[in-house]
Amino acid sequence: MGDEEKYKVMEKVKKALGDLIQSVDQPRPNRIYVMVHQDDFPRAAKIVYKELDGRLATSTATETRDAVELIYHFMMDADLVMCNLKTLVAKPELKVGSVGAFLPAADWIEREMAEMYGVEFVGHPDPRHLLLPDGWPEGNYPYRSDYPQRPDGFGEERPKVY
Amino acid sequence: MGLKTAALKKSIWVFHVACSPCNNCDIEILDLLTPRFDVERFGITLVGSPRHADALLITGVCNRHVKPRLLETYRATSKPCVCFLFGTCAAGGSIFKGSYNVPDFVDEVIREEDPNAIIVYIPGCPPKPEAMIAGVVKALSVL
Amino acid sequence: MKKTTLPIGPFHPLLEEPEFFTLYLDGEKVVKVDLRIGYNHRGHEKLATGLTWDQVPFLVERICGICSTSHPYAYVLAVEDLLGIEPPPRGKYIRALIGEMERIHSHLLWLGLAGHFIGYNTVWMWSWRYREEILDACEKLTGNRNHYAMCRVGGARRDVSEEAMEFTLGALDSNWKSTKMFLGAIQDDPVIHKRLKNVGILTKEDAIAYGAVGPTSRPSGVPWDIRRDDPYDAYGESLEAGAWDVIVTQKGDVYEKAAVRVLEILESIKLSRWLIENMPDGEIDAKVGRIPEGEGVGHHEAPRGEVIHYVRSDGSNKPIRHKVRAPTFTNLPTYKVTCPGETVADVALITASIDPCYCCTERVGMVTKNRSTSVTQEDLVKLSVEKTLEIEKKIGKKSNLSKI
Repeated sequence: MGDEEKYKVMEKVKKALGDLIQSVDQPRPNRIYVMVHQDDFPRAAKIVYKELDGRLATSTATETRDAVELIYHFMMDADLVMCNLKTLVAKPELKVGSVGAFLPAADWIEREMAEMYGVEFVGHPDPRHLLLPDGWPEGNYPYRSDYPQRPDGFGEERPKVY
Repeated sequence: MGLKTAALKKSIWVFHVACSPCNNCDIEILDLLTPRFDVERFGITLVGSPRHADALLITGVCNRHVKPRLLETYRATSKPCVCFLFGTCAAGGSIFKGSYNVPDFVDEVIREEDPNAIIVYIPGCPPKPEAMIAGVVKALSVL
Repeated sequence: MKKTTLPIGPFHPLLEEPEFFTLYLDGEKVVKVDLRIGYNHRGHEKLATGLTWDQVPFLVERICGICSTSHPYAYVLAVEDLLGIEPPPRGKYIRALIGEMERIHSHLLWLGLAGHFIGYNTVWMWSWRYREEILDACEKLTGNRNHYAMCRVGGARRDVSEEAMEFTLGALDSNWKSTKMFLGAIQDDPVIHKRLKNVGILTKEDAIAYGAVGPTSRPSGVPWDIRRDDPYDAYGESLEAGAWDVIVTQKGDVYEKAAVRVLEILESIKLSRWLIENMPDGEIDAKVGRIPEGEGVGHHEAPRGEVIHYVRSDGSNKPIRHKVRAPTFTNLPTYKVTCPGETVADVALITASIDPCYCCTERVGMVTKNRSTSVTQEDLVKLSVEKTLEIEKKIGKKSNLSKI
């Protein structure tokens, strides 16, 4: 598929998501980045999954100063373009609607983001720990920037000097 | 080193313990059983339970979740037994030094439990099957 | 007769841990499955933020030993997506060649393990013996049997010599013959048909809903393959030249998963030959300087499916976020739909058919109406082999399985 046809996919995405879009960008022909508000997020994800035939490849959580940014990478295999749906989940409440409630592909990845960053996915069918060991203390989120890079113990003591 | 350890030298039975490895060393251990290297002709065979084992083959860096299980396995093995630490991960932690989920390395975990444990280090990422055989032979000739 | 009580790596044969692969049974049929993972979690994503851009490929290589070049491949594609550059042609071909060699030896490994689960240990020994020839070729090309370290941001890290490529052509030719033999064996054996057909069916709707990738979803009629859909490196040109094709079938049972993998070995052999014969000359590395601010997503078709990496940069010499998703992460939850309704003897096969890269099946717990017991890996394999023996008796075929 040529590059011009991939640029046309942007129009398709804009039409499907309509007012929910806060900003949209297509830096390369096969990558689209869309930002929506955290309250509209599950609805926007449902639109990309059902109407645009997006397959959820995975999702990433990143920490910024005031929020945790969630990026859901949807691959539109028929159009050969990846549509990355972003939202900012405000600190300190860190609550957002769960996509795993209607999309089984998001089930495990939301469990992992919840235990690593402390984001609460409202409506998730099974919010247990996925990867961390039994007995991991609550409130300790390893991927946050305030968790030390090389901790000794569960992050309470000072790191050993190597 | 005594009659019991001398009895370990021929035809050892090994139990394979994989503590959070990347599975490369485990595949190389299984490669030893395949026709090219074929250690079964020496009587070395993998067993299904540590209680029958003369030696433990430990691979991987031990994470928090696996640490109690590794200790249980070590306690269940009948002594004297030899612990072979295959691979750089088991021998020294490799690149996972300092990760939040990797507090101690395998040899510290075992020595804490039993200060007189017999530990053999075979580094490599992964150690070639020839290196594994050479390491095992060298260790057994010293015992 | 030889006793075959071998624990299989990459499975962890540890004792005394809680049921984490729990099957809920009604009689002999499985009603529900529950999974618990976490035995292999080492914290790669946090470690990657402490390493420079050039050191990260060495870290991600050690996520998995068998698909070891897929992770650095996806990572360098993500950084090149951030920068918007492409490596020079020779670098592209070298990376694609190593990716295909890895696919061949990974599928041969799976074939051996699948043979062991059915009880055909000869298949195991023979397929791993033929795998050794491919590993020799990889050693000549790159210097190591696994963990090749050939991918670098901007191209390939080392060049490959002419003699290594000649040797590889010889290894590929001999592997073609042996793979054809395995294909014939699978197609002709009535016991394998009875054992594997209509077992563990994954329907097309479930494959799409769970987002299954790779040879787990392609047998169910879902034709996604990143090498064709989002082409990178030498895959686009080779597809247009007709050097290889994507294998898709419709039914989704374990038999088709096995057949798809064996056919993919043949396609990879054809593609590797084409890459060696058409290897261009020139530079292998586009010299990359500073990485500016931005973000990038890279994905690669590993032997088990799509590997996807995401990187974000703030202009410094280390990534501030690196996200890794291996294909088994999305393929594992499909157990919830493929296992219920099957018997316990088939569970070992169904778990193996998605080719899990690290396997969590060291201990399976069975919960029957009144008590719960735990069974080990070996017990599951024993159950599976007993079923094969029964089928052989029914068909009237003389058994050539080694007795347990």
